[in-house]
Amino acid sequence: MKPFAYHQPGEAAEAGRLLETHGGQARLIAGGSDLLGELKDGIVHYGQLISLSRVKGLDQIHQGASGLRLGAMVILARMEGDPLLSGPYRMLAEAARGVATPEIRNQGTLGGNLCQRPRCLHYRSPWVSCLKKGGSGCPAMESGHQHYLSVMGAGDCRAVNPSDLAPPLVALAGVAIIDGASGSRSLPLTDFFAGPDQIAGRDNALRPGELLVAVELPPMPENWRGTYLKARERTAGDFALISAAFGCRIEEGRIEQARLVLGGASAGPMRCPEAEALLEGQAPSAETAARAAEAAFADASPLPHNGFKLDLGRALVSRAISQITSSTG
Amino acid sequence: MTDSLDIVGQSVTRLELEDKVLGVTRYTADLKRPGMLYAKILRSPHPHARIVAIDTSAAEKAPGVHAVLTHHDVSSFAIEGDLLVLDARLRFVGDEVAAVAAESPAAAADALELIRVEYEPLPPVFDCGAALAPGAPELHPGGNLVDGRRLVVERGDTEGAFPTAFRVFEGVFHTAAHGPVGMETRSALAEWDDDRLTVHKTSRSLHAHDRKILSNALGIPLEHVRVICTSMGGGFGNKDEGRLGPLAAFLARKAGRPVRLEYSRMEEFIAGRNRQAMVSRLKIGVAEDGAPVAIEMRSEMNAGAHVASGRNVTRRIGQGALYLYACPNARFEGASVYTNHPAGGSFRGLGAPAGHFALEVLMDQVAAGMGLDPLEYRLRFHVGPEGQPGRRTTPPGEAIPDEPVEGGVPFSSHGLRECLLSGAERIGWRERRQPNGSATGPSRRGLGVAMGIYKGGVGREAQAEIHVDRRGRVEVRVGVVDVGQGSSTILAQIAAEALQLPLDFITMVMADTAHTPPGHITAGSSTTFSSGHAVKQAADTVRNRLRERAAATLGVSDVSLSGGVFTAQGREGAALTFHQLCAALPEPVIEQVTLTPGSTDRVINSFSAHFAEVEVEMDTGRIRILRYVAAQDAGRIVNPRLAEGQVTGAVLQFLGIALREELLMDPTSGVTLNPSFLEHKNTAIVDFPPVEVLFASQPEPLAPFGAKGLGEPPVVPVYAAVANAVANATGVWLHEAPFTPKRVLQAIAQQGADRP
Amino acid sequence: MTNTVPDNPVTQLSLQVNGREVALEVEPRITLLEVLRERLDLTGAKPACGQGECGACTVLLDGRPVNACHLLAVQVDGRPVVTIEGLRERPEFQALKEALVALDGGQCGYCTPGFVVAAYAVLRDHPAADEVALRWALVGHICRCNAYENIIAGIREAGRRIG
Repeated sequence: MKPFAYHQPGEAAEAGRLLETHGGQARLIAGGSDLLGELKDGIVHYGQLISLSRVKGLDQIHQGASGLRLGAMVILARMEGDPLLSGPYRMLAEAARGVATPEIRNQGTLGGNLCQRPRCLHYRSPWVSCLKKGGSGCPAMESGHQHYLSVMGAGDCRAVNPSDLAPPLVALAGVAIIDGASGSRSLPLTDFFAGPDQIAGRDNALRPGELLVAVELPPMPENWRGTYLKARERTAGDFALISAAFGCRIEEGRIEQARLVLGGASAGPMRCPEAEALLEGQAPSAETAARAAEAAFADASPLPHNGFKLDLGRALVSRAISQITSSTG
Repeated sequence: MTDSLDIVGQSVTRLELEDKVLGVTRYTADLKRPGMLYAKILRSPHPHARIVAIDTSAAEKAPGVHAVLTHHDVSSFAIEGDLLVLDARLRFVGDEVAAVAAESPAAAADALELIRVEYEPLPPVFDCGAALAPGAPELHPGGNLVDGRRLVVERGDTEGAFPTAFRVFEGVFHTAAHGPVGMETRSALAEWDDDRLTVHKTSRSLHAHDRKILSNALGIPLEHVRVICTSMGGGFGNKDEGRLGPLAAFLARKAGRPVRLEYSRMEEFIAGRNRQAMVSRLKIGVAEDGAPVAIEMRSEMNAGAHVASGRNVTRRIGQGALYLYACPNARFEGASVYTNHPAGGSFRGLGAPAGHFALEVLMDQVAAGMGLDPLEYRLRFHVGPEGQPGRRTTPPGEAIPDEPVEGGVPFSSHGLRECLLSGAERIGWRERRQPNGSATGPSRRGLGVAMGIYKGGVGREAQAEIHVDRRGRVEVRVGVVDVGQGSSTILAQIAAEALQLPLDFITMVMADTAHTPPGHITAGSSTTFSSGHAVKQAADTVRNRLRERAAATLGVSDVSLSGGVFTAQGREGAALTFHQLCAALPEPVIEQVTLTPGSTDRVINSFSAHFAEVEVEMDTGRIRILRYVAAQDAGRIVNPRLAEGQVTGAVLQFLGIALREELLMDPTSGVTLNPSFLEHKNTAIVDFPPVEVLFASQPEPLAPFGAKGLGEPPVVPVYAAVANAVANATGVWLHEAPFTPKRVLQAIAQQGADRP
Repeated sequence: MTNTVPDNPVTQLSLQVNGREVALEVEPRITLLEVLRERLDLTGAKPACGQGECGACTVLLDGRPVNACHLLAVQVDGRPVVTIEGLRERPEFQALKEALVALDGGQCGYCTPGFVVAAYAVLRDHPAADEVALRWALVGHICRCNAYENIIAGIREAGRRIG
């Protein structure tokens, strides 16, 4: 790692001011599990790290009238077992348990997980230049190793947000709470992540001087249930090749309020409105699940070497739907 | 040899395990010296380039920096034939350009940034075909085909035999490059005392390689070099080849202070020595009854930038094809090819797992094509105790090679059939195996079998020294390194058994050139057999001398020895403890033995028969291992618990390699894209079921207490056992490893297995 | 990117390691593992992956297992750190040590201290954890000797003795 200065502000606004003052030279550090990897490998360098560990109130999970609020500095290990993450929110605990390893989950935070950088092998290699690192071309397009790249959308950079928490949070209609030097605002998580036409250097909608301080989840019906499934190469400790968050409730034998969100398929977590519409009001069955899975990937545009992710993705979607509709009914 | 053994055959506790559990054991990178500096290496960003100019002046002036080393500062001695201490020619992304020693790791890393290098990029070449094409850029003088020729070994006349075959089966098989991945990375700590050099180093071969290399590279007498490996964090046939030792020693000499050089994980992956990618074209001709009449294998191994022990790797691809099935005509042709990939080297099993993958999968295809059950096929046609048909070619009186080719030489011991039968019974082969591809549904189960033949551990010159002093301290000194497999425990058991002394009387002294006789490399599964032989012979002599002395002291013609007490034969009540005897020794009893064990009329090999049960998800291509039975013929088992652990570990390691591990190379830049534990997917604790381990019962008559090699043999059949089980489950043959979901789905699509 | 850092900044830290207060001056870029190994000579935690991917460097931070290689020393300022050296003498550690030695729960031993620290924390929190739970709790630990079966056997045996 190259040298850097380390700041530990006590307020979010102060963190925002530091970000603004140092511009592109500054980066927030929460648990650091993603950022330290980048710094060690020389992928990025920041002269100023701004730690959020002393900013008050960011490590709380609490249930209010308007829903559930999850602080950005809540560690993943806490999410695995917190009693508030039950019922409709249980899928979040499930997703947290699937992240990395117990040691990393004792360090990694919700905010860090959502704001982490892509796992594209070319982006992560210190030896190659790429669009996301400010280079002029994308070597991943010429390479056979495209398993961490998107299968949907277009754009010159096909890297994806690797967060396991993002798809279930989007399925739960999460809202990003943003603070900073120039005040606070909120934004639906669907708009927080870069869309398919992202600028290669940008991962999310945070503006200079802003930070993510919490995610708020609106109340969900008591009988809404969701699950999060990820396909990975190893049994555990891996990032998703592709993933699916699915939830719904069953009313009189029919699927209601279906939400399907894919991870690893597009630049950010991607809702599948066509598949959701197809499920709405249907009686659960293997055929319905398979049709929804087909619909979810109807617009896929895989790269030459990652078409297999469509097979994995369809299998995950079918399974997630079957799992939820058979256990919820 | 006596059949009533006290210590050999017992699951005694692994020596030093308590220290490991407590974190007390010191590995190379745990060592410090006063004034010690930390070294870092500048690595090439180009796959192929020449250093035109290098300016280290700014780095030398940087805070805390004490030495900067470039190719101008080192001798022109070749560590290996094609590897200099530092070279103006760079041959892979990550190749060593320069090194810095500074007062902290961070200061050394910062100084690397200040070294200015002008590179002249040269055209790179990454795959074997391109490297062998006319006009390809040459990595080394003489061209990219290592030694300028393909290795050919043969028995009989394959060319004449193929036309007589009833049917001929062919297949092309690929295995990917992967990392050896010892948990401890390569490290060295060099310190000079005047003109004497001490190097602590991760090593499998401090006598046979490191000491000689350091002496030659630094230009000092062999006696002035001491090499020590205090403890090794995993060897797996790896961790020697490369520049580590000389770089640390040159830096320490230039800086005038001790220097420790420790590879990062990324460096270990790119600049260690990897298992090479291999491709094998295999052709098997069979008679009407299915008997193999001709087997021909042609293989290419992508050696990367330096060949290191790659010649042996390539040779061993062919051993199964040459010898596992009784066949009058067999031929192996192997090429080792230089490319601008990171250098390959030696890793557990060398080329044998890849070669057996091809052989054992195509043999399953033969069995299927001939309408025979794969187990029955193997029981009928595996090589028998009598060896291969044909004539002996080794001159009379000369040792039989442990990678034999010739016919007419029987095996000394042969437990292959027993392994096949016991393994089949354990997995329930006859009751449970369905025809290939008959399973239906979204998840399909199948059983697979594969065999393996491997060196038994002979052929290395081994030395052992035993010292018994007046305090009763029994030192067994051997120059080999316990790389983590437990050889110190095994050799101590052999010594204690032969000496007829309790195990805790034995002190093992290993892995320090100052205190041990020359020892062989820890390779070829040879320590138990070769060093074990030397230890046993030395111990036999020491025991006899002590017994003679005890008999003389007690005034009888003979004594028995048990539990550390000499008891007079024929004189009731007269006894002498071992320590009493030692106290009266006029001088220490010392015995040194040098020998090269082997046989002039027998082949000594180890055998394996493995059985896998898998479940394949047809829609995701995911393979789950449900059961795995590994039956091994390693002669007598010295320590059943350690042996089971070694077999289990070998199988789990190679299940990860078979299913996932792969170095992903960028095709245009030659960059290794996944040099991390995260992206190079080795086995974790939740991946596979426990391995069921069986051992054949027959001791090897020519081995110390009957024990043959076991370190590598259990890795040999793993690829094929899994692939054959997948074929049984799905009807789809896998010819390319690792068997990732992507490759399995591709194979299902291409071979047209019906979808669920 | 250009480097606009003031000359290597140095921070004062107060670490609590194995119950001992340690005052240190370090650059913020220095990891906890480097401080433990190179400054305090606590070498039981091992460097192996350098990226929080293998668990060989596991220590307890606030009582929970973390990867010392993947934390900056400044991140643990003022927080209690316990290494394998700090566990050795604890009476409740002895069963774990004895069971691992008796059941050959380690081969080359390099990953062993990391496994042991994590296993200690799991058994402390869940003495009755079943095999599946133990395996998932230890999934962040890589053993290249693949001595996993004996490691799990040893930890389960220790759990039985403690429980």
